Amino acid sequence: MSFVLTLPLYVFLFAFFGFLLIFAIFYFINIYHLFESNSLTITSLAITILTFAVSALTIFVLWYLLQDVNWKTAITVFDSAWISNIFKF
Amino acid sequence: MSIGKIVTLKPYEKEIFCLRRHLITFLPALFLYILGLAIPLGGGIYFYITLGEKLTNLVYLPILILTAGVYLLSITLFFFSYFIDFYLDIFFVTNDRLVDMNQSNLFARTVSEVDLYRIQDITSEVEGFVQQVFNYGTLFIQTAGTEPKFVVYNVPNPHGLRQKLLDLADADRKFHHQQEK
Repeated sequence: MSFVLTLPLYVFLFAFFGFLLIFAIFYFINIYHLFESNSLTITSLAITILTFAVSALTIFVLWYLLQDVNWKTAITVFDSAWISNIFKF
Repeated sequence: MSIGKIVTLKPYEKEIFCLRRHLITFLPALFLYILGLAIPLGGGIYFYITLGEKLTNLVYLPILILTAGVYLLSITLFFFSYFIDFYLDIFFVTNDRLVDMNQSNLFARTVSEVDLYRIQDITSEVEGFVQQVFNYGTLFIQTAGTEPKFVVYNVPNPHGLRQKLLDLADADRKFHHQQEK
């Protein structure tokens, strides 16, 4: 008897949204530190713009590449046959 | 950056200057970050060229793309956090004291200070080829006791700074002697 675990793709998308939320919280904590310590200089501005641009570009490219995906597609994340067939020669 | 946000200044006290670590010491992190950004980009192009149609039909492709996104955003966040740790290590000098603010991570900050007139001696050290070329190094500030009270790493122009701090300590000592009389 084999055991197969399948998950729809949108589960991974929601997990990614969870990660995005954590990312945004930590990103704003970093910016808060700059304001709170009054360290608003050209250097800190340049690094903030660089990291913001890379993050925005990453999210845009992800959206561009994933816009046509059918998120209801079920994919197999575990199949007991992967393990049980290891010792069959 | 204003010292008034960190400590309360005395009526006669004014900020002389503030120092951060030399920017050149941040370059390795920037280089690693750029390298880290290039890895999934290079990998993506390589697999697209070698696998072509097979890659675009892969059912796991959305997960691969999301994983690459998580990786890119994670290294960007680590890089930004590292910059904050780097940039908020500040060394303030007033006409009365030295204040050393050390940001260890996003949620840990240490602020320590020493009165200028308590400084007994200062050692500046420039060690190695890179430090010689870019003129930065370490400053050991000694008060009463065997261990240095302050060790300030990677400050620009440490020899000039040592002399400046010794002059300020001398002036502060004279000021305190006058006040005692």
